[in-house]
Amino acid sequence: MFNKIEAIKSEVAKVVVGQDKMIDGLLIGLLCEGHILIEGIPGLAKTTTVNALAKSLGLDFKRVQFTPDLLPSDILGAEIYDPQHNAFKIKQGPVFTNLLLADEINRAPAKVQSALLEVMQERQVTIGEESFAMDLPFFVMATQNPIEQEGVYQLPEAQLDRFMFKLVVGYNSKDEELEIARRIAQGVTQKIEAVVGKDELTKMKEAVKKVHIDEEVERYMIELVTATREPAVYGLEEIEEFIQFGASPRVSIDMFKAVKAMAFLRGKEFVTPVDVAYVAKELMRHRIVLSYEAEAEGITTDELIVKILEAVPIP
Amino acid sequence: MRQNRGRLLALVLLFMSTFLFAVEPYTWSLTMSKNSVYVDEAVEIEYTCSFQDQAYLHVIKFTPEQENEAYRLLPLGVIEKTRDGRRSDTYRYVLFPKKPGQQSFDFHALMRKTTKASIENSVIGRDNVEDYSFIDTKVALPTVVLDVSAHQESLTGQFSLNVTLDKNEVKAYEPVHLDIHVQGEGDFDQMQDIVLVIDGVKVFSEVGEKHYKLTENGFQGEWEQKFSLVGAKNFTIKPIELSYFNIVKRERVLLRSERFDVSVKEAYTKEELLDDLEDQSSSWWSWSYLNYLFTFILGVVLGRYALHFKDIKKSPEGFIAEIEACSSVNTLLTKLVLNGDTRFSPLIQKYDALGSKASLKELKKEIVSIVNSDTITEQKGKDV
Repeated sequence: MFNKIEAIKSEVAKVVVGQDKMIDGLLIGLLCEGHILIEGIPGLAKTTTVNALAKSLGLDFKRVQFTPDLLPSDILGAEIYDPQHNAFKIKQGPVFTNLLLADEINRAPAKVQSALLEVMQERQVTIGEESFAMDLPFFVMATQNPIEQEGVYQLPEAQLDRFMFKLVVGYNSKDEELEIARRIAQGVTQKIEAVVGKDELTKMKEAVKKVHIDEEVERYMIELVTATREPAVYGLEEIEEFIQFGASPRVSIDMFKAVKAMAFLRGKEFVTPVDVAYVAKELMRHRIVLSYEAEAEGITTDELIVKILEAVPIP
Repeated sequence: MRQNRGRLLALVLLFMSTFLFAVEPYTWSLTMSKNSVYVDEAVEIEYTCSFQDQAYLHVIKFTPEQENEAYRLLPLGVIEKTRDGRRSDTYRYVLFPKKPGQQSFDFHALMRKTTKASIENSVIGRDNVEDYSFIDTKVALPTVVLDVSAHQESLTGQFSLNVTLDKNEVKAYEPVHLDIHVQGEGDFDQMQDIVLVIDGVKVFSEVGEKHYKLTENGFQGEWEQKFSLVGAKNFTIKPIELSYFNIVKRERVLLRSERFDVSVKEAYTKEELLDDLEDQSSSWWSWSYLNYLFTFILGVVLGRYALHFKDIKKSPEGFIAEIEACSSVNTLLTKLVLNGDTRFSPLIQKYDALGSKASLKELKKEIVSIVNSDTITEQKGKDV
């Protein structure tokens, strides 16, 4: 089963150089049925990676470019009048797919974001009087650009909480960038093959569920989440004033799933604190609400998560 | 014969009724403060329109030409009053004739009359009516006739002149201040600024300031112009003269101030011309610099001890020390994961898979050897 993961990665690597952690994050989201928010400046292969991943999985993939004038019906679909049959018929929107890329999600107004996030939570769409269950797997990957603030609609905390991971994509290393430039200059394009089908994906999900978590590690994870709410209890008085709201219970739920998937990706059948460390930032960075003091002093949630990981006793 | 008398009576009645109905429900009258004036002398004129009733259907539009080659006409105000159920509107103006001789000035008013129905339609908005409809009648008002006498002066009225000098003795280049002040009533708005020229004296002049209001006798108030005079030698300010036509005395009047002799003492040296400033050549030190120094020290002290900024960011120099301080393999591996350096990935994979069999000592040794072999590259932005 682990070979399949390697096969997916090698297919994606045909068009994407580096960005291993983003690919791991996307795979974890896929295996755990969690949605992913990807943040990074333009030109870091966010869309290319998601596209390649969809093709390698042989899943239906659709992309929606979010714009300020987008309407919920542009995504979900709408009832339209059919003059031939003198009746209303339902035109399904791009949300009816397996992998949906919501590109630049923060450019659309709140009503559109809400419409999409409702589908993400319920995995069901109601158009007119009819409800449609989404074809599983249903997986949303949303991207947002962190450098522009004007003309964007920031996702509110309650909606951010529905994303399992927030992946922050950075620049490639020098060697990787050299490889990218060479590939583009040579005009080499490789076709991505579908190496995993829906059935195999289902089997992988089952395998992930069977990954063992020791009770000590389970308790450790709960301690980590609790420490974001009451840092002083864990000897972290210095960061208490920087956290307005700690991580929600949804983080604990997602963490239990994500660490299993991470262990699975690393070819293990059991979870260790190392797996927890690998996913902690991605799970919690968008779910901890910083205080004004933290923002004034330029402290990020990542720095606070590192402090918490260092302070909570590791089993 | 009787039949003829009856016809005649009917005709007379018809004629009278036509005459009676043709009479306008208002009359215009004129009141003037004087009939005989001099050129540019103010005359108050009042036009009053008296109605037979409250005349709420009437609107008067009286906007006479304010200035032409024959006169200047400035508004004093409008009074609208109703007494014993009769409305009267009074328009008050001050007229300044410009030409001598027998002058007559004709003015017209526009009498606008609306109807009850028009008001109703407009108020209700019936048929999209937005404004009242009027029937306009142009009415010739009583003529203003004036006997205007000539004079040769540019100013007319009754003025007094007051000229003051702040000091008569100064040092060279020290300014003396001359203040010319004219008070009274008349055509103040025609007052021109005075140009003062004195040989060997630098004259700094302000624009004349006018403070007046319009009254029935013309403009009443004051006019003031200030000068600063700077000279190196003695100088004399000639008497300031102001000639005007006095409407009370009915003759030309020349106002004349006294002559001012200004005695200028020996010249300043070059340094003395400057204001009383500190000597710039010795400005390398000032006790006021201590204020800056204390402010700086206070800022440092406040920042260091009072504000308690918490530095939760790690210094990279402490990485080896942190590695050495780790007491378990899992703690150390977690630290390596958080470090984000991809060169540690094989180590993490290897020791994590070993579980309880992993040796902390061996792990530390391998990490130190990696760190010492090369500088740890920053993995900014790859922290996924």
